[in-house]
Amino acid sequence: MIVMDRVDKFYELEGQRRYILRQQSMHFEAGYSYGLLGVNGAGKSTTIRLLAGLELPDSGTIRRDLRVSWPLGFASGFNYLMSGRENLKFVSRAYGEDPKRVLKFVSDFSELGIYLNQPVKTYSSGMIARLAFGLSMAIEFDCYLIDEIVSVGDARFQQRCEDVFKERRKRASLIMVSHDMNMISRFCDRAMVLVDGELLAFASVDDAIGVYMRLNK
Amino acid sequence: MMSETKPVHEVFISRRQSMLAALAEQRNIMGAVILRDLRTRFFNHGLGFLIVPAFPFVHLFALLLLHNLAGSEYAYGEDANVFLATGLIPTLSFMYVSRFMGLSLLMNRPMLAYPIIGMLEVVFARAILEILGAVWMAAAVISVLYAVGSDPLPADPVQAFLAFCTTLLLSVSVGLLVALVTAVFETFVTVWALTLILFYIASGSLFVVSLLPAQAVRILAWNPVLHCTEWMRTAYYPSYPEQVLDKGYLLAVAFGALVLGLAAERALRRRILGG
Repeated sequence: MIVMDRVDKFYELEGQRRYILRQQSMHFEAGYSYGLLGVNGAGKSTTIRLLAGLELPDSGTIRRDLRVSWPLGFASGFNYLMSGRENLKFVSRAYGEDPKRVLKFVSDFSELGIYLNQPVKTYSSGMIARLAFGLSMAIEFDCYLIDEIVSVGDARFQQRCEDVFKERRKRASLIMVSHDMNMISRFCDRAMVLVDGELLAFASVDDAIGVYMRLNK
Repeated sequence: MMSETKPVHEVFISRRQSMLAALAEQRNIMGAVILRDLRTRFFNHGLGFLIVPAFPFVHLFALLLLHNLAGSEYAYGEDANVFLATGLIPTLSFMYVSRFMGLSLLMNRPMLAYPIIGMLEVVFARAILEILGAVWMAAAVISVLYAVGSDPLPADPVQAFLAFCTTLLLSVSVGLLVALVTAVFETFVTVWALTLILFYIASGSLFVVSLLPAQAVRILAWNPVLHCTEWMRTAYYPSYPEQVLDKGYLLAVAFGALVLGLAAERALRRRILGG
């Protein structure tokens, strides 16, 4: 479970506070997948980073009693001078996973082949995204945070991503940010809309999508 | 309804297991961060780490060479090289450890993209590598001096060991502070590099501080690195004047800087993570 308790998060812009979250409390229960909706600039990515622990709230607390991923597909943790293989080894070791197993999983999943031995700086953006996505899936988390995962690779690769997602969802939760309402409907049990620093939780995903669509007009 | 409570021994075992799990997690993180820092430090190769002890080693021997070429008189003891080395080993250890620790967060910021890795892990992983570098440097200097016919072993090895350990504690504590300030203000790297020149000049590495006028001694005694060199020299020379050495002051500065550094990590964490 992730518990957000009276969380404030704001940025100072030209001397004024712009609230992302204002005194927000929320329980993300284990076993459920959540969709986080909101118009551009509402603060969805910041909220995901707060849930991951990559940013800290200005006040309030966020407690996690399960293993939470980094925002999925996130590539900024790679050292671009190191090879894909070395980057994978680093993350595997840090998370206490077997580097050989992770390497095999990512190698099979991403189909990067011998490129895994090359420095990441030589990769195309699509290859980096495949490496990042494969790594995110290679490590077992109780809760996966997904921030606007864009379509990576060809149709076959996208199908494989979706298959892995479905398989993971059987034993892990998802908290997903997406503008793709089809994806939110398919993967999420519950949804909320972030608007003006407030997280509005809805009884059904369709209701949340309806509010989001009206806000987006 | 009766509530179920675990027997005390089960609670204890559960806590111990969770503590062991936490320790295992910490070991994994530190191991991974150390290996990555080692790998990416110089030349994008693990062997690039050999540069770390080579910097102060070459620095120290360049100074010894200059002093020998200049034919400078012995400041204390029977061997000018040993006298200079007893001052330069602690001083250069402080300079290099604190300087390179200061760059750790700046150089390894991408690691913080993984929530499991915190700023302290990044800084202390670098500290471990720098300490290893300083120990290798000291061992190499002693070996070379021994090979050229000097007697580089201290009269009181325990005190020499304590002096070196306290120097490293001071270096790590100050390095932590420098790393955090640098993560917020990048230009502080340059400020610290220039400040280190003052620490170096005032360290007493090249002279016997007790022979200076009292007013100069009072000012220089504020420099904690001076006490590191004085402590090391009292370990080498039984009759070395001890009136300037204040171990209490040195330990207070070292532990004070550590506490300040840990407090600064708490205070600056939100700002540094927020970018």
